[in-house]
Order: sequence, then C-alpha cells, then structure tokens
Amino acid sequence: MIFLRSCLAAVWLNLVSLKKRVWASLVIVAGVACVVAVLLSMLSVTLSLRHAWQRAGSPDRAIILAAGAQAEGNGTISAAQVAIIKDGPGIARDAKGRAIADAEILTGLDVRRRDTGGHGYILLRSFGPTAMALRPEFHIIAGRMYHPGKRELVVGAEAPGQFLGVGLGDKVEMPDGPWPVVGVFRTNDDVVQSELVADTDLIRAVMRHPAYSSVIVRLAGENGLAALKRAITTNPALQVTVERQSDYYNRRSAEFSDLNDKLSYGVSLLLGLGALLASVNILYSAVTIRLVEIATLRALGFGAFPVAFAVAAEGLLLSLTGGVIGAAIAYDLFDGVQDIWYNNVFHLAVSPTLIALGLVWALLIGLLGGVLPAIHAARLPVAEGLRAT
Amino acid sequence: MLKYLPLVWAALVRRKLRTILTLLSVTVAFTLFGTMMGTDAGFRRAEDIINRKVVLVGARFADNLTDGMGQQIAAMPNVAAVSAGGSVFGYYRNPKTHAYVMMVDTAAGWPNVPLSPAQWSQWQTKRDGVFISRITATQWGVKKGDVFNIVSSSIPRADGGHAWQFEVLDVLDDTPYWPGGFSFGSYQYYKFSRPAADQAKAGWFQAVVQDAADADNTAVAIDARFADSAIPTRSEPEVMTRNDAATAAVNVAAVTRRVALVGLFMILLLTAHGMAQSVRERLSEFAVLKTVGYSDAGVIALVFAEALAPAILGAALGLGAAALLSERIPALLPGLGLPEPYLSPAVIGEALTAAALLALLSVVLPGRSLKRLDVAAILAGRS
Repeated sequence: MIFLRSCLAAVWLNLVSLKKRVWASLVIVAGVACVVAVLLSMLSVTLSLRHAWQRAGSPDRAIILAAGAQAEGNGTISAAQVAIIKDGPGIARDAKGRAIADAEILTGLDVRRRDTGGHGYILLRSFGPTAMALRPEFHIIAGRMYHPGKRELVVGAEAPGQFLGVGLGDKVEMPDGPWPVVGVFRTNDDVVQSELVADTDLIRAVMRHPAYSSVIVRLAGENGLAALKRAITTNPALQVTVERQSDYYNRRSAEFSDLNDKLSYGVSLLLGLGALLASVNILYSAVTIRLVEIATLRALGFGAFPVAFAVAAEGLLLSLTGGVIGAAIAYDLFDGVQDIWYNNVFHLAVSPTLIALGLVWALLIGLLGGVLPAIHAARLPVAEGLRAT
Repeated sequence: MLKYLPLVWAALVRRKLRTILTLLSVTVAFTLFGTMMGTDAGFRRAEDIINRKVVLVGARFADNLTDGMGQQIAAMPNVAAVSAGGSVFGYYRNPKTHAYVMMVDTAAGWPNVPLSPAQWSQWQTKRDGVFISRITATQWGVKKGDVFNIVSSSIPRADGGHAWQFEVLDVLDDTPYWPGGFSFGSYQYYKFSRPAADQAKAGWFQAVVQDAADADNTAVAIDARFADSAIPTRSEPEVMTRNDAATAAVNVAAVTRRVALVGLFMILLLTAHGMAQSVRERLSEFAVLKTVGYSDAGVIALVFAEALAPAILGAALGLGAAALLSERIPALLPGLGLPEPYLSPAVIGEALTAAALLALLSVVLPGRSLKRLDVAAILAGRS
C-alpha cells in the first residue's frame, strides 16, 4: 500500500512539474499525434477499400468464371455454357421454378474523372432477369430502375462523386449513341455502388460482346455450393470455375490490400521510430532538468522504483494524449471522405478498431520511450543529484 | 574556425547517448524523406522521358481495332509510322503472380521499346521469344533461356487452350521509361496464335508522329476520323495516358505521401527541440566560454556546429538508407506501379537544406537565452 502510494505521489509530483516543461511535453504529444494520424489515415484507405470489396460478396451467392480467369472481366463464358450452368443443382429457384442465376457482363466505359479531369474508367455491369432476387441489397434511391430492353442506365450512388457525366439525368455515350441515366441505386456500400448498370441482352448486343463475364447464382441451402461444384467440374462441356462470392471478393481484395498494408506499415514504422527516438531524447532531458527534484525525492525516502515509474508514466501519458489527438485528427480529416482507387469509389472510415490500433501504437511508443530514461532516473546517485545546480 | 572543432567533438562525445539518439532520429527522418521525395522525383523523371511523339490509339468501347484501321491511320497527316500492339496477360505458375507481356511489331513503330536492331531481328527466328527486365525476371523467377507458360483466359488461342508459351531471349536492365519492369514479345507470334477470325484484330495501335508539338491534334484527328465508324477510337499521346494511369493507381499513395511528409517534419521538429533542450542544459558551459573570452557569435557558431554535425551526418546516412531501400521498392511493392525512387541532385539538395534548417532551428529556439547570457548569474548558480 505504501509502495503504491509512493508511486502515485511520485507520478503526481512529476505531473505537477510538467508546467515547467510544457514545450518539451507538447513536442512529444505532437510527435506521437502525427505518427498516429499518419498510420490511421493510411490504414483507413486500405481497410475501407478492402471492406467495400468484401461487402459486395455474399456467402449465399456463388460466382462462376471462365477457367483460368482470376477476375470478373477476364475470360468469357458462352451462352451455351450459361444454359448448362443454370440447369445445374445447388441453385436456388424462385416461385416459378426459374433458377435464380444471371449471366453478367462487366466492361469498362471511358469517362472523365472529377479530380484530375483526365481519363478514367467506370465499370458497366449488366443485370439479367433475376437480378432483384439475386441481389436483394440492390435498391433504387432516386429516379427509377431502367426498363429491360430500353437503352437506359442506372448509376451507383458513389460514382457521380468521382466521375463526370454519369449522374441522374446525364447521358452516357454508348456505341449506338447516348443512353440516359434514369436512376441512382445503392447496394451494400460496396464496390458495385460505383458502377453503371443496364440490361444484359441489350449490353451484349450493343457492345458486341460475344459472351458473358460471369454467372452469379443464389445458392440453395448449405450444400448448394458443393453440389454445384461437383456438377460443374465433372461436366466436360464446361470450362469454368465456381467460387463462393464472399471468397471471391476476399481473395481479390487481398491482392491489393497486402501491398497497401506493407506501404502503410512501412511508412508508419519509420515515422514511429523517429518519434520514439525523439521522445526518448526529450524524456532524458526531462530527467536531467529535474535532477535535484529526483534526488530530493530519493533523499526523502522514495524508492528507486516509484521514481522510475513516475518517469515512465509521464512518457506514457504524454504519448497517449498524442495518440488521442492523432486519432481525432485522422477521424476529422478522413472519416466519411470519398476516395477513388482505379474504378472503385468508396468512403473512408476511421473505425473504433482502427482508433484502438492507433492508441496501441501510442502506448508502445510511450512505453518504449519511457523505459531508458526511467532506468536512468532510478540510477541517479542521490548525493551528486543534490549537489547539482 | 578550426579551433572550434575539438570543442564540438568533445561536446558530442561527452553525451554519447544523446548524440546517438539525435543522429538516429535524423537518420530515420531522412530515410523517409529520401524515399518519399525520391518517389515523387521518380514519377517526374518517368514523365519527362516519355517519348512525346508516341500517340496511343485504342477502341473507345470494349472492342477490337482492325488492321485496316492501322493502314488508314498511317495515311493521315503528321503520322510517320503505325504499329499494332497486343497484350498477353494472365498469370505465371501461381494465380497470384500476375504476368503481362506487351506484344510489339516493328522497330520503327516502337521508339519507346529499349531493344537494339539485333534484338529486334531475333524475333524473326524465335517468334515466341520475350525480352524481360531484371525486376520482372525476379518477380516471375525466370532467367535467360527458360521456357515458360502464361495462363491467359482473356485472349482466345487458335488451339483452344489458355497457355501462351514463351522463351526468355534475354534479361535486360530496367529503364525508368517502364517503371516496375517490362516484358516484350513479338506481335507476329500474338497474331498467328489467335483464331483465324481474330488475326486481323489489333489490341491497340501506336502511332509515331513527325511533329511532337502537334501530337494532341493528331490524336483528335484520329478520333474524328473514326467517330462515325463501327469502331470508334480513343486516342491520346502516351504521356497523357501515363499521367492518367499514375493518378489512378497511386492516388492513395500520393495522399499518404503528403501526409507522411507532414509527419516527417514533425520528427525534425522533435529532433530540433531535443537539440535545443541540450543547449539549454549547458548554458553554464557557454557562460564559461564567454568568461574566457569567446564572443557571442563564437558561442552561437559553436552551438550551430554541434547541431549541424549530427544533422548532416544523419541526412547522409538517411539518404544512403533510402538509396538502398529504393532499389527494392519496385520489387517489394509490385502492382502499385511505383517507380524506383530517384535520389536526384534536387532531392539531395533539399535534404541537405532541410538538415541545415534543422540545425539552425535548434540554435534559434534557445537563441534568446544564449544571446542574453547572464554570465555572472549562471556562474553563481542563480539562473
């Protein structure tokens, strides 16, 4: 108990003297704030992008791609293959007994980007007749849905923020002339929400697409995927692969997020190291300045540990404050901001998990930064300290 | 001036730990500085060296251009040469190893391909040959003489398969023109491997213009020529395409780079503050110096020299570390399209200026107390 109280008293005395070292302390706070702000802003980009991809995938759906195609849009599936797939087992059926499965075409359209004014690509996806049963997350929030067979488009809610000329009422240049955008849709705040959507049969004819990019199916029950997979892989007429849609988006998003994570952590680690070294330096001088004070405490009977503890606690407290400020800056600057990565438009989120990660970094910097100066303080010879001026 | 040197050295050595800490944090800051600013310089260098005579012509919509269109473009004013291009993309061995080979036709049409006439002529006897850069060879794990397959589902083959077989003719040095590596194959191989119906289709055309200043207008003229045809085109000088690609791919990296620069200056501030602090602690020493006859300017010069030594040394070490790191960045972060950071003379100059400013800052911060040193009070321990 006495030990604990002397620890607390030492910390208290330390904090009271902070007023004298206000600039040095502020510098530590600002440094750690910067590290945490950079870490969180970089990670919020990669994580938000990854989440936007992952939200597009549903475990209830499967995606069928041409053999060898790693991504939707590489490789094609012929109409004959689509017909065989739709007859396969494991696919959910609607009230009329139709398979809830659609062949889709994914292609790019050349548009202007709002930020640079340069060329960009927006993805154009085609929906089939069962799209609404297949994608229950899809709903129109403004205007109306396109009429099947009519030269009309609907646009994802995110796209107009980054691409020019794709908003409600705009006309998009297609091979056979301009098509009006008649509606705005939302999905699951996922990557589909930055695409244009139109009718499959029409897109296939107008874009002169000989075949489809993918077949999306709603799976029937637990064993749907296994049954479908067995039927598809044993049929020599089909050169396709089937994958749970959530796995597909997970796999695809991992490809870029691994890279981006490396970049974010690399930069943050270097920054963090810099802040760590600097705060060790500053805490050292804080100990040196308080030489007399520390020696007096020791002379009064405070043990070596409470003195060291107080120094370490100071470092910890300062960098934690910095961490909170850094997280607040990152949150204020980036949370909810729209960003673009190639053709994916998404909103940045500085989530509670991310903020917690930032605070852990701040704590680590504080802990590591405080240890050496704390040991230094504990080892100060009392007599010499008392003589110091 | 020389008489100060032993004093500076003594001050630095006496506080070994502090000096080392300062040196390390400056080193870390400049490692970041070098890689960040170097990446920017790398982008600018890549843009500067793009051949302004090259205009890329692609299909406006997902479609194939035809050989006939190439002949029509070749007959247009200001066009010196036109060549068809194709791309084989897919993966090599592991689906995660993306592989891409650019299929090129004639030397005259490809001034931006770094091959010698002798290398161009090798394709006459080895149609499935590829020339790849060191970075690409490392990524794929292939060497000269290797025969390998790229699995591509995007381009149908006459044989109905997905495997494109290539033989590595040579591994060449990387060039800043193609950041992140390159691989070139023969367009003739590409063309005759496709089904008969596809052989008259080109992936895109590359037009070389006579007057680079007029490249923009030539691109507009090409698009106008095909605007009402079955296959409208989208043409653009290569330099603009590169710009669009760079902003699309590394928009995120660019944002973070800016943020990180702010963080970097924060480290420098921290360091400057640390150095300033150590000056304040040693005011009594400076009072002694003044007592024995040093001038104000002399003391300040001494403090500045003490700050400058670790700042410059740290900057040099940091830039060295950045240079070592730079070589590995394209390989470490493939797919981000980041160029190898380029430590141009300008970047090095900026770094050294920043180091000098850092030292200056650490003198200015405690400057007032240095200038108005109350020698008597300090020596008497009354400060």
